Amino acid sequence: MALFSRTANLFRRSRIDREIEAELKAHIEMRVEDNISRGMSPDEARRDALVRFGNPTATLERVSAVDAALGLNEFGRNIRYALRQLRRSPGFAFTAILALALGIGPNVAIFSIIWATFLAPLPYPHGNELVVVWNQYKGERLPTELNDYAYFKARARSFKRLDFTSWRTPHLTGGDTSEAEIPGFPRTPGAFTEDLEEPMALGRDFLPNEGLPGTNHVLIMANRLWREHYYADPHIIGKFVSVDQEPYQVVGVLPPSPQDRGETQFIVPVLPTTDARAASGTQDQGIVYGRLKPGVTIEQAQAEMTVINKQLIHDRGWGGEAVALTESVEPLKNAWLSPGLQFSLWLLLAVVGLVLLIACANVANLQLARAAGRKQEIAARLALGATRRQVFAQLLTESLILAVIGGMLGVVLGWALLKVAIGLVPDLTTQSLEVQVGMNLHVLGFAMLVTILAAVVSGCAPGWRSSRVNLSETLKQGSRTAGGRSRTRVQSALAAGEFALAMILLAGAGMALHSFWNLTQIDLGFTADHVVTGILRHPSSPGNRPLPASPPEQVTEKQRELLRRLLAVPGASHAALTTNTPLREYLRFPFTIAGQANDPSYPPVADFVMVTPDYFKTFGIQLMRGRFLNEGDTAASPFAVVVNETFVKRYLPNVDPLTQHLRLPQQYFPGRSRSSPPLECPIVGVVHDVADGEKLTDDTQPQMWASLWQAPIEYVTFAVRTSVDPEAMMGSIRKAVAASGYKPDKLQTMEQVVEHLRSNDRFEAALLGGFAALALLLATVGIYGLMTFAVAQRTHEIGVRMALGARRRDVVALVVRSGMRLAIVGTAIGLAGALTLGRLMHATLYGVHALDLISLSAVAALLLSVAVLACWVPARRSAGIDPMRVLLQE
Amino acid sequence: MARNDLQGSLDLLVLKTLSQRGRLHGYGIVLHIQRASDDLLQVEEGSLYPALHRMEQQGWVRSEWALTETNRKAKYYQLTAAGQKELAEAEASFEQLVKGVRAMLRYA
Repeated sequence: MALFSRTANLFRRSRIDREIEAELKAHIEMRVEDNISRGMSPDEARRDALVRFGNPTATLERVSAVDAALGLNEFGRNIRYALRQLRRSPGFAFTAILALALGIGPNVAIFSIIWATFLAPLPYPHGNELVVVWNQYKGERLPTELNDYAYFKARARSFKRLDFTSWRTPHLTGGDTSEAEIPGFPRTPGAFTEDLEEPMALGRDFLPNEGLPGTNHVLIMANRLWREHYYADPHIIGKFVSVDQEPYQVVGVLPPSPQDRGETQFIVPVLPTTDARAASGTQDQGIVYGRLKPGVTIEQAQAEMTVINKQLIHDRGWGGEAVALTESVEPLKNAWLSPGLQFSLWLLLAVVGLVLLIACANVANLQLARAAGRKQEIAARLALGATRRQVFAQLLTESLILAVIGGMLGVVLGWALLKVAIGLVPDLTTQSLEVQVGMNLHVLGFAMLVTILAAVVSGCAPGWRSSRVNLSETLKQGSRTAGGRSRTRVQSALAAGEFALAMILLAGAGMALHSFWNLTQIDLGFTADHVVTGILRHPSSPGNRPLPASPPEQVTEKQRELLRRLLAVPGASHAALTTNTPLREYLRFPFTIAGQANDPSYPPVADFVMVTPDYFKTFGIQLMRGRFLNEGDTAASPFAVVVNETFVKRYLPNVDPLTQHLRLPQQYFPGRSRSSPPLECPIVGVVHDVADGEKLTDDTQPQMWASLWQAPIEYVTFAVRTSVDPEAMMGSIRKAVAASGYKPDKLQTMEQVVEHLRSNDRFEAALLGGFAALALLLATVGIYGLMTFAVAQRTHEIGVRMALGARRRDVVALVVRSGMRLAIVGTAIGLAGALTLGRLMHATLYGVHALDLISLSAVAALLLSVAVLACWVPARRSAGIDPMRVLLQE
Repeated sequence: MARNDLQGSLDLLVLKTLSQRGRLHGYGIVLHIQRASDDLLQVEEGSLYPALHRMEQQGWVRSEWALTETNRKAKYYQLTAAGQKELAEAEASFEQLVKGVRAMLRYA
């Protein structure tokens, strides 16, 4: 191998070598000629010339080495020299590497999330043509109904294809021997092979007419389902499997794709039906995807969709709030995170950038301090003929080595941080099938870029300054004085800058923590701990056809049996059924109030929830007036309604609510005809507001509760209050539900629901807090280092002061004062930045003013007290200076 | 005979030679330094060429092939603008060194 490479080198360099050889030969020949003309014999002349020249082969090699590898050589030499220098000051090297690792690590972690979420290309061909058409209501994304999709598809010309994926979840059973129920989803035919341009691994895609009743019992499997549950059966095509208890024929198997990572493992076809009767019934809801025609821009597609959407609203005769619905054409990206979390990610990227900047300032400052001690060495090297460029390159190499080691540690740190971040917000990895958060080449490339940047930022200023030393001055002065005023000024500016940046970060973290604290203090109106909820899964409704309803008495009897069994579970104290749980979503049901005039086009609306009487105790809801629903409210008695405080405030402000009757349309209750007159329902109680938004911060809306015993609905949500750890009871609760003939699903504790709603804010608060703590640490180390250095520099001056009668206290005060001046200036500058940050963050914060005096003053106090400490320690040391010894040193 | 192996000094000598004599080949540089220094300085010929090639890479000199008076092909070197600047700097720093060393020697 060595022989080969050497030969290859020779071959490659032979032309250059020949030229060098000719040059050297000419030199020798000229010497020979001169010698002969001075009277030597030709032999003698040649011998003399060769002796003077030395070994021509060796010279040739040296010259060609210079030619071939000058840059490389110098670099290698610089690296060796730099390593030697760094080994000589391990304290400095350690601190600098640690600072850089702490600066680079968070950048790597946050960038890998940003990359996967926003920047990574879609794993599909021509991914940039793929778009999503979102239905939006005041900035919130909503699903689109299947017949609206049909309306768009029939009219829009911007798209090569427009496809629909339903949010309905059919279940497949009977794959291999397990009892697993595997979820799938419906999608319009052709989406895979034509839209995503993925060929099938086996079989075919859906045919264009598959998906209507009668032709929709076909199925495509994801590769994973096929492998894991059907043992990669090569003859699967044409076989029948059971989906929602009906036979579906397998027509295709997908190749390995992002689909394998998802929960939904098979696809059934869906098409909008033209049947007017069916179209008026329950509609599939889902997302509209498309592929733009070549040459059509997003803006053009958007313009077209806006027009079509207006037509749709007009054609359907929608009024009221529906007018605010818009369609938004967006590139299909990985960003499925909530806008708040997306903002947090970008904010965090900016924050970790600042942390890195602080780390660089720190390292630059360390370098400057060290350079003061190295003046002699550098001056000597310059005197011995090194050029300033060489010295500069040398110093930059040292920074580069520090940064590279720091960068490598940073990648490890970043990887660990990433695990923490994903632990805080699982949404980061489950946001969509295509997103893969983790370390990859792009992230490592970014880490390398950041490392080089860190090296340049932290090494340039010190390198440039050091290579400008005044030679004779330095050599003459000896080692005592170090650093002029200007150097200290740069260092002071850097230290103050670190404080400014740390102040900004601390302020951001302070506001995020303050907001998070406010969030945990929200009165939810119910007790979230020790409650388990779950749903009674509807037995599959094949093809969306409604099942024949059970007779109401039978439903009630079955549900009472269920509640009895739940209460019999050891540890259960209350159990209830409900059509909706707190914090799920708020639905608007129009109603009227008996005896009040009302505008029929703008009726009062309230959330309407059907519950069993123990609901209020199960969720720990407080009764304000009247009574809860109870067992006395039966099918035979008048419909009793309980309302919340907001209801009373908004609709019954000046009357006794307990004397009022509400009129609720009959269709709110199952099994009653729409045409009957509304039901008269007396208000029997008023309860405390219960948070009902999908966000913790949503205002509670008017709410009404009625008893399920008065109008039974079979498949609802169950809730159990427990006296022991609710997580431990999940298994027995599941069994109890199954024993009463229902299928329990989606069991979770209310605490989990609340925690999930807080997770974004916790993520932001935790990471911002962590990074700010890091910034604080770095800034503290920075000012501590600077003060230690300054004290060392001023040893002589301090000694003289003390000899002249200054007391220790004065000296300590002197040093602390000079350090605190920097800290205060930096903090003040940071305050201005913090105000800007506050304005930026304001929208994502809860209950925090853009000028959050509480957190600002708290973090400023924290920052300054840490600074006092960091100055005080070196100051104490300065006070220990023995004036006699200092003066004797002269 | 002062045998100065310090790279900086050799660079200085070569640059100075080229600035005084304009265009010169390696052998001519050796002769010039020897003659101009009254035989005090003798360039080690083996070190000259690596130095010349290094200086060429650094952009201080440029080279071209031409014929000598005796009709021999030789590589001629010439100072560039960057070389002029470098020469000025090297001269200054050498002056400093000399001053420094002299001060040291005189120090009683």
